[in-house]
Amino acid sequence: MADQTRHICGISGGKDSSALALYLRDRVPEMEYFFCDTGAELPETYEFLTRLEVILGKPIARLNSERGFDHWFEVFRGALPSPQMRWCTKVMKIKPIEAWIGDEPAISYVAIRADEANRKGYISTKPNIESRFPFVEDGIDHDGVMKILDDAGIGLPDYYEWRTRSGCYFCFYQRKAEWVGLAERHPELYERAIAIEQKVLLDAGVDGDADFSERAMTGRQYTWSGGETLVQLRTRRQEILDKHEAAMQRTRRARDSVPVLAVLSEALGDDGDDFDACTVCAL
Amino acid sequence: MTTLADVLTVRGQFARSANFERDAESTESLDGYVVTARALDVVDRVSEAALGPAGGAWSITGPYGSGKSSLGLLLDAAFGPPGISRERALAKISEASPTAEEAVLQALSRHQARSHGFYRALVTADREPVARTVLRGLHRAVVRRHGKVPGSAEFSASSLLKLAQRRVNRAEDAVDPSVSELVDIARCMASQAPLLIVIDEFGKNLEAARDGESSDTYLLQRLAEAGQGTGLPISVVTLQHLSFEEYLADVDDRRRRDWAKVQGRFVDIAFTESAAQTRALIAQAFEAGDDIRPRIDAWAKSHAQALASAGIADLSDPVTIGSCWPLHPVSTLVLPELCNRFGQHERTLFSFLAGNESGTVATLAAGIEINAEGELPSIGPESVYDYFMGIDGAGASVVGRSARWTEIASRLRDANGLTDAEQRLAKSVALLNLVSASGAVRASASVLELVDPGSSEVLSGLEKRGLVTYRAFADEYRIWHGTDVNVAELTAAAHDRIADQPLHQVLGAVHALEPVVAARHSAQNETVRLFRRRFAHGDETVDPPAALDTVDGEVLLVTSTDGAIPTLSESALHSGTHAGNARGLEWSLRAKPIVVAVPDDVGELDRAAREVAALSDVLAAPQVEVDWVARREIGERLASARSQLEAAVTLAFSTASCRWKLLDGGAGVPLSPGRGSAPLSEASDLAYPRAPRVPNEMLSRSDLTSQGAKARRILLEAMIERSTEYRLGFTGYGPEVAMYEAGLKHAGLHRPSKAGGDPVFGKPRIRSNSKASEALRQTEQIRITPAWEAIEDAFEAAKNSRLNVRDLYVTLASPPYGVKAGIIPVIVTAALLARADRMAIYEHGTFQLGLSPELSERMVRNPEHFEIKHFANISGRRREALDVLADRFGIDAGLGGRRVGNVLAVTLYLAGRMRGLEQWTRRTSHLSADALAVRDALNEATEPDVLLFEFLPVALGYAPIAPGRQSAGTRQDSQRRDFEAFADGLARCIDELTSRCRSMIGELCDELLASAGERTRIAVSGPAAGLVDEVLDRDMRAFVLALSNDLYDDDHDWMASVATVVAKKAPTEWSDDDLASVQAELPRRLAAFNRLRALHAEHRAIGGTPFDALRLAVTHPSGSEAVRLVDVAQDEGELVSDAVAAMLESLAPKIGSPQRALHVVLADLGKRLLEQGDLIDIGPTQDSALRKAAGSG
Ligand code: SF4
Repeated sequence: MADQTRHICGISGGKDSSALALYLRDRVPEMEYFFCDTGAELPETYEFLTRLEVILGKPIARLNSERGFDHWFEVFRGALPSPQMRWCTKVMKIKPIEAWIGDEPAISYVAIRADEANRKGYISTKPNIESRFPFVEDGIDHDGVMKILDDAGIGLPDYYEWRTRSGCYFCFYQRKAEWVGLAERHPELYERAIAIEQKVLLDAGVDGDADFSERAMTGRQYTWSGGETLVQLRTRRQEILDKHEAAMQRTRRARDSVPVLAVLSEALGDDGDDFDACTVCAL
Repeated sequence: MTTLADVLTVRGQFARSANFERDAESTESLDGYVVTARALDVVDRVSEAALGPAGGAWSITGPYGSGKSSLGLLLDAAFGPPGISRERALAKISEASPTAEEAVLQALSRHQARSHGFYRALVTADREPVARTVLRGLHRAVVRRHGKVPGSAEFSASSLLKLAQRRVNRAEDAVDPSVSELVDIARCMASQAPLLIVIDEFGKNLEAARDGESSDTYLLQRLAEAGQGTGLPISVVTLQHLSFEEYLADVDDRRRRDWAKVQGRFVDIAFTESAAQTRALIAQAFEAGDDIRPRIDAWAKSHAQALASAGIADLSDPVTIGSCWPLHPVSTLVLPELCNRFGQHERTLFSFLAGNESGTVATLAAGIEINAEGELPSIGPESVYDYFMGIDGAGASVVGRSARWTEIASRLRDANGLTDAEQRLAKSVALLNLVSASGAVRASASVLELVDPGSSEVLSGLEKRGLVTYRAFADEYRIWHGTDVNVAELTAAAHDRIADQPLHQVLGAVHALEPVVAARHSAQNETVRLFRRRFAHGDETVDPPAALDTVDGEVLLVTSTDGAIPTLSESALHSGTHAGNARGLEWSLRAKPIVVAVPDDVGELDRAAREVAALSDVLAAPQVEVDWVARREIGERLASARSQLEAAVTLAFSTASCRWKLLDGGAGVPLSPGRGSAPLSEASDLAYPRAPRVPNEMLSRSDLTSQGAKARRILLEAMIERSTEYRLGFTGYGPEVAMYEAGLKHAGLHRPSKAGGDPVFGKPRIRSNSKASEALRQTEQIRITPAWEAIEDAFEAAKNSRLNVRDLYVTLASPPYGVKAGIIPVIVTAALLARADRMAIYEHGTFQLGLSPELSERMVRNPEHFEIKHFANISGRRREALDVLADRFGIDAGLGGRRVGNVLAVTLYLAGRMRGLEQWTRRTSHLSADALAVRDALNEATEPDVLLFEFLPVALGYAPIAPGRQSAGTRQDSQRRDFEAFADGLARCIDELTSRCRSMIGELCDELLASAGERTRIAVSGPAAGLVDEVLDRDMRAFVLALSNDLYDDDHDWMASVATVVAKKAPTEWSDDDLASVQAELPRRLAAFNRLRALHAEHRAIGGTPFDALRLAVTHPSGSEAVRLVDVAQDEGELVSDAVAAMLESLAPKIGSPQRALHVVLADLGKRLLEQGDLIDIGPTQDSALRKAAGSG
């Protein structure tokens, strides 16, 4: 009897999960790749995914593509996701993944590297899913990951130039310097994020915006980036960049000849430990 | 010795509680019963309802001992068969109100029930399911009428009843009767005589329901409604101590809501008596001998004067004072309040009056001597105090029920050595302290003087002992610790502050009004109609509730009495009118109904409202907030003021003298002055005559529960995705299935298109088979057709301009349809699906590819974001063009297999084919001119017809296809040829667009193979695989790896991955610039690959011969570097090696050393190489790769 167990590998659009997909390409031929599409990923992420798909020679199943962020934003009538009310991950990622996996036994391959073995990834609590950590098992660390990507000729997603992880362009877990990065690389997305923060979905159709601002609770407005609105944040652009640059310098001085990516991660305080913030979204 | 007992009879029936089972057959049970105003009200309602065809349902809530059970007995007797009981009952009723008796008699004769009376199912509930109680009642009613359960010839439900009775009485596994059995039995009874069901202690049923005994919440309601059909009226009366909600306080929300809903369909009657009514009861209890009457009259008169001069208006009528003798007037004054506050109402009262334990009036009477002359003795407040305090261990012992009472009692108990006079007076003060809330009845000097003339001495003695304090602001002596806050002054100031505020505002602030259900209408139509209520002024201009508001109407309780009623706003009047009202055109606005209630007197209401407002204000005053005694006092006063306000509101707006009107543009449509929610039901009848009746509790409501919303989402999704499956593919009995059955199947909206065909959505229709009549009945009951037609009309109008979906919702939610918000999306979706091939949907103005589950989710939430346009099947030239297009693209099977030749179907087809178009194809200019033009047209058009008939033909060089008749003859032929050419051109372009990206990659593949000089992919990837381990350079290595990859099924995928590696971007995402640079880069990479391959190939080709390759690099002083690869075969090597060795040997002596000679020779060779000019500059990137490839030495 054929083995009914499914083999699945989630791809976030980040380097580790992409490397894992490539790594397992020949090793687990029946692998099913999936990606939870919030409809609000960075353009770089989408572009990178097609790159990966072509090289894998296999489609990456896009889960949730019918009901992206814009859909839920309208259904929830402008209710913003936040660390306290993280409906985004729940309705756009966890639920679609669990629905897609179903109740058949499945083995999920998780891209935790050997050098970060104590980090938590999204590990399903469903009993029919068994998790495996090939990088940990095979001792593949950061350099190993980079080698896999190099060999595949795929490189890194372009957003690594200014941001340390994939996820929604307006993700409330991003650092202030990353917001500034968004404002510079994708001013139009920054505008959208500003509008969303004010409960308005820009250009929802040819008639224009979907405006839920009237439903906003009066009084203090919730802001995505601690303590200030995105409009205010943008006016402090230079200040934020200076601080960021100083942090980069410190890191560079502390360790010679480290790759830019590592400097960026460290300067943004993203040393892996406080990554729990978005384990589903950024792995 | 003559005692009071000798000249006085105390009647005591009221003193014991009535019991249905025991007393119903007793002719004496009503002796001594006094028909109070409340009781009369109920009799009135029951008989009035019995006059009509429908009966009614009432829930009477009153505290223990308020005489509810006796009322039940009164109803029983009054509507019973002729005989002594009925006579007495009628006599009692007539005593209180002759017209009420008249009404009872009318009700009896109306249904030919004079000779046998009604069926009266009087029953006391136990902790058991309602069904069991009701069965017992019905059974008893039948037996009482017939002596036994008659045979089925006489009573068709005979065996049903007997069987149910037997099953319920089985010792083991008793089974309760089902709702439908009980309804059948009741119907059978009602076919013979009106049925009156009275359930005492109904609270026990509720407790059983609370504790999880199975119970059918809707049984009573169903019973009451059972009378609304063909038979005679069925009335249901329940008697309980608390409201339904209070019994069910800790039951889960759902069940509590269910019961609340049931109670909503009952008319609620609060059963408590006013002080004056209670005094009338007291008077009825005493009967003094004729001899003593004149003395009583004189006694009463003098007391009346004294009371009047003490400012006690409440009791200044000598007749009342006299008839309450032997009670001292002050006792008479305090008793009602005392019984209500601390006792069990009338039961406590009568225990005190007529009980035979010590301390009651009846027992005291025997010990009080009556002199032949002089002041008549009376029973003063001190005796009342004793009784209630439970002195001697008897009496009502209420100590402990009230903090104030406890405090007073302990202070009095602890005061030792009081004289008799002091004790008496202290007790009077105590009693007055207990009951006084405000007003003249308080322990003031003048009232105490009434109790005990000449008491001022005693009083000051008590004051000196510190037992009693005088509170000047209240002008009152107090035994309990008072406060120094001048409550009276504060209250007066608060009153002043609100004196100018209009009454409706005062009321609005202090008296929250719950929405009410139009009970009768709601029950009849299986649709809860809820009315919001507020107080209003007659000169207001008002707007009806918004169409999508959760309430169905509003009630304005008008508090101005100049006869003016609020005016409807202009916008409401211009909302339009509708025809087709059952009651003619009496009221036909499309705005939700506003009902006004105008009382004729608001005096009491005004007083009570201002009192509550003032006291609430005082309670919030800073000095009161810190003084707990004052807080408590005001709190108590506020509580009592609130209950007075409650009563005043009921009084003002529930009596027949209150006028009810439904607002229209003019004087309003008068509604029958009603009790409970009758006028609202009438208003609902007028406003919502065309509402569907969807018998599904979860769906048929304005606000879905989260569970209901989920079920509806599942239903909508199934409608969209499985519309042609039987039962939409549902199995089982989930809530979504129940919704489907009620809202779609029974409504006839989802049914086979033709006999034996798959089900489809369409206008309400039923299947014709053997069950047709049953189905027809259900469909008729659901009455969905009017709403459906309203949607069709709206769709029809949407041919000319787009229809906003919210506007459609508004139409459906408004009169005359009043479709509940829960149902609207279901019907609208059904209608959209029924015309899926013609209805275009736009979201935020953008054309959408049909109705999908996710789109439907958004539409449910924000209908205002959606628009609909109707593309009807067209005719003429355009029709012909469409046919050609449909033919060319093979679009023929629409929903249900109908031929689809319309704009929408063709547009959706084209849009569907364009949907997956790659980014590159969307942007590239590597397309034919036609394809480019078609692509632009598809991008730019926002309307399907504009796209098909204007943009696309023009893009392909044809004239726009104007609407109009088909041409004839040869012109027709040539036109058809044009259409065909257009269709062919379009098809070619679509094919080109959808395949261009693939062909572009194919072209790249050809270029690659050509550059590699190979004909097949295998010929490239095979050798590449052999080189993989030889290449170190990162990019070159990735390129070689990509070339070598044999995972791919075909050239296209292989080429795509190679191209992706070269461009660092997938071809589908490219711009034309990316393509150009790949086209430039590819040959360069291949050249490098070829060289690598050549080197490698020779290396291998030499076979067994030892082989060596050397890389020679020469750096010129200028810094430029050149490299030469040299492969050296073994024999060549040996030859040269010998020659060089000889040369070095000969040069060494001349130059100095062999070492030095070697260096100079090398330099010379290098110069030669440089001069020779055939060194290859292979660039820095390939450098490292080759270093490895060549670096074996
Ligand atoms: S990336 Fe951020 S915003 Fe997006 S789903 Fe994850 S947590 Fe939410």
